[in-house]
Amino acid sequence: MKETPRPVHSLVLPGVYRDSVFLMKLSGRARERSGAARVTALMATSRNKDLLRQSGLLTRDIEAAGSDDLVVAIDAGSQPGKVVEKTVLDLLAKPPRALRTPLEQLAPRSLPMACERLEGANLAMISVAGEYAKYEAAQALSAGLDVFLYSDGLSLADELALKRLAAQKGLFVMGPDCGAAVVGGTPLGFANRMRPGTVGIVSTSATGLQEVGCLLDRCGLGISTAYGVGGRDMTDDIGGISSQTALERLARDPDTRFIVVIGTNPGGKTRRKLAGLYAGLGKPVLLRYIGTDEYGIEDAAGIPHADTLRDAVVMTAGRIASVLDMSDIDLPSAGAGQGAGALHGYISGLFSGLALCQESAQICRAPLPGAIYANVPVPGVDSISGQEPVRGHAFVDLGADGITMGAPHPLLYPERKLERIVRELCASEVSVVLTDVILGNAVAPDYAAHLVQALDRAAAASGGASRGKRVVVSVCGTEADTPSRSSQIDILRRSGVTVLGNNAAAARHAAALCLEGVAR
Amino acid sequence: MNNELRVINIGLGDFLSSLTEDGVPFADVDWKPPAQGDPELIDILFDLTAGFRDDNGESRIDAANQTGLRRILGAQPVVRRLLPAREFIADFEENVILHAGPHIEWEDMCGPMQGAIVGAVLYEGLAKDAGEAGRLLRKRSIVCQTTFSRGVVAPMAGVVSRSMPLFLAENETAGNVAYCPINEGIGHALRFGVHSKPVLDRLKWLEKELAPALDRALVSLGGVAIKPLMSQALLMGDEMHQRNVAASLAFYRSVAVELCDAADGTDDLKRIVSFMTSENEQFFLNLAMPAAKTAMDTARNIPYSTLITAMNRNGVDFGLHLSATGDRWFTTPSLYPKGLYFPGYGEADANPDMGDSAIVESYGIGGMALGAVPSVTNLIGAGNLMESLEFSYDMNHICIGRDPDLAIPNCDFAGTPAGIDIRRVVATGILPLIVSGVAHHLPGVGQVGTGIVTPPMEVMNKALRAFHSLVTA
Repeated sequence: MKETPRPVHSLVLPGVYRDSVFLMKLSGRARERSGAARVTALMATSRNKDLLRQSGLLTRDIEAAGSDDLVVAIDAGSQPGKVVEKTVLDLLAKPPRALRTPLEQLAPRSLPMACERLEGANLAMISVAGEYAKYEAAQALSAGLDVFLYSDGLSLADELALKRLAAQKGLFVMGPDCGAAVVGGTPLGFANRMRPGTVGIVSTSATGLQEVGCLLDRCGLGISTAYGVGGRDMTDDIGGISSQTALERLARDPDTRFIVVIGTNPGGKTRRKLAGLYAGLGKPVLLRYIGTDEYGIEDAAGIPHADTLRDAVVMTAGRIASVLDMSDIDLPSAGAGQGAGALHGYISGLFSGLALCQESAQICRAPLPGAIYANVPVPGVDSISGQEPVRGHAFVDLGADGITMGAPHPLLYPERKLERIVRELCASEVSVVLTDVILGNAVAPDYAAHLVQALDRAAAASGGASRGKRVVVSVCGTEADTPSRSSQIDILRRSGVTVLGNNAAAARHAAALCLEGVAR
Repeated sequence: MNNELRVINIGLGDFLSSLTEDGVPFADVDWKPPAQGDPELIDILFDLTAGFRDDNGESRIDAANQTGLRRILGAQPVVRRLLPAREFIADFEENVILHAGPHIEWEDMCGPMQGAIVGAVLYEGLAKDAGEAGRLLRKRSIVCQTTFSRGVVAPMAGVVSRSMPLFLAENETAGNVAYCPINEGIGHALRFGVHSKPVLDRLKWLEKELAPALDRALVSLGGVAIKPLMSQALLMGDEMHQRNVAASLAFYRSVAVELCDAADGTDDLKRIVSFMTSENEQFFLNLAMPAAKTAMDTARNIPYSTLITAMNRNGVDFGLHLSATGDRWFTTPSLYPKGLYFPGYGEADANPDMGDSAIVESYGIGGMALGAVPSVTNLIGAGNLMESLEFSYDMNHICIGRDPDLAIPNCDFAGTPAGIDIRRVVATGILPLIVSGVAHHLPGVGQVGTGIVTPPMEVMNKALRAFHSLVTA
């Protein structure tokens, strides 16, 4: 062998011990990974030093090292010696990542441990009670994760602290009280399986997001990303911190070409701030602010708005494709002549989400004479808790904080909502029950069948009287949901439920039924 | 479709369906309310997690803790000398006796600590019998001070007087030092409160024969690095608090050759070798302790740091030190160890947890590294080996890092957990595990068992509240 002796790099790590098997493996791995010619890591015992001497790898530093010292002799070959050294040090510092012991079966008991288990985690989904959720969310942000915060019941101060921290760290808090989002094509929370497409959504309300996303899906269009930002994000208390992050992310997202913003009761200051943002996104924005009739700020900024969620979809679709059959979003229309008869009573509107409830109250307010009540804020509509009986048309969001009071959301456990429907159908002053059927991830399965059973229970309890009343629904969902929207509609129609194509249409239909009653 | 989501779920399992369907990687947390649901502590934890940020949004607390962790991991303790305490501690007065843990008055001490103190008084020739020793202590002619005040750590009663030989450990990285007496062996020993003639005779022998010889050996070696020995011993099934068999032999191996020259004749050498290799399997504990202290002391006094820097007990109270609060003691009554008792003894005989030895747990070995020690499965009340690994795994929940140089083979060579963050302790309710000898509650009886104990939860809550007041002030 006539090899020219090459320079040998050496590392001496005083007082660092590893066993010989470990060091042999490390040597091999370091050589493979760095492309060095030879890497030999050993404890510097006199025997090992002899071995190094024989193979021409003994340097003066290694010679001087003691038996407590870990030494590495490196013949770097064509590689820079420093690179090989770094490879060795990295391998030494890093324990093997994946636990191959039975310990990997153990569930992590804290967020930091979960992050260690799932390297590169980037989102925390938090749905524990609000008083605990705030701490978990703070931990997640601290660990550099975005947060999907389903929990409600956080104080405004805590929400603000979390959102400011997120903004400072370039992170994102969806929520609190965020029920739906679609990120990377995957529905989060209660979100539906929607077609991928070019529309980005920012919404303070889960059901608003779902209604728009599902109607777009029905037009054959789809969404890029849909962010829920939490019911209070657009209030002046919070000032739209998460809305701003959502808009910035959509502006950067190459898949997003159009943006729909759904806001419930946005504050004046925040509206001005957001109006300024919309104009600078470089992508067309369409607004649907629910609970307000006045769009002076946005009109001045040249940002268009829609009057219903359905219209927001039609207007957006119109921008994307000039020739598009959008008739499907109004289908199916109401079956004619069912349960004909005088309807002298009130509408009882029972909803699983804020946006659908609010929009229904807003739509019914104009045509209907007499008192209208809601447990969600709508101009011109009187405020109620949602629990008490009222003499008038009532619109109740059964998912609202004040009603769930820590009980599971009606989309997860619909029993209380169904009992309420039975009660309303048995009440003599109610002639129309207007309600939503919402499909999506984690939603209680086959809700339509349970609703039909509830109608039967109401008929039994009222001696058949409830059969003379109308149950008007729209089904928020897609064909890709399980169960599919059409399968749920079939079940409902077979039982005489009037199914409309979208939430706004259902509300109009209910109002029209009552007006007919008044006209008679 | 872009799907780079990687999700941590805390709460409803229902929401995981879509992630499963789409093959999105997730980890589901086995969640319990933080801080046992205490709203005040949760508010504090929230503030200490979300708040105290620099201009870039980085947590000052996390940054301070990382500084502490780096120092702890970087420590290279070397045991250099073994000399009478007065040689190291110049102002160690003749009438001063040191004890483990937070300060406690003679009258308030537990039985075994009183027994040990009396033993030290007799050992120093300050009284002719136990009665006179008690009188001198009551009069304060003889004064009791903490080991901590003199840079010493000592197990159980932790009683040290000025003639007793101390090991000097020096952290080569930072240059700081700590001291610890020689381990006397198990059973009847001063540290368990026994001051019989055989115990005092053995202490004298340690002072007069073993210490000078071993010191000469250490000097001729230039000191013995302790961390590599710890690293080897973990691979051989020691955690270095309850079990030190391998570590003690590894230390003996390091000094054996030099000891041959250093000892005063063959008989002397034989007694020393016999003591170090077969009579006292706990020999290494008293090397691990000062070594750990030199590492932990470098993490003291870091503003904003929530790391635990020491856990010491005096047989009545449990004492805790946090980095940012420096030398301030947080104390609450100690718990009783749960464990295995020697024949004829039981729980009713036990004294509350005692000693400075939990410095090794503060460092990350001992009870923090039980996964390394299949042989203690029974001791810690684990039903099987897997359960004992779980104990060790749990400790990672309360630590901010691991020491890659102290690998635990049974945990796939993951390092020992290092850097106990009191925020995580309070949040998870998982307490550091401490293995400990059990002393009889009466003076003079000695060790009656060995077991496992934790700090009281309340001392953790108390320290966290105080830290919060300090940083919000």
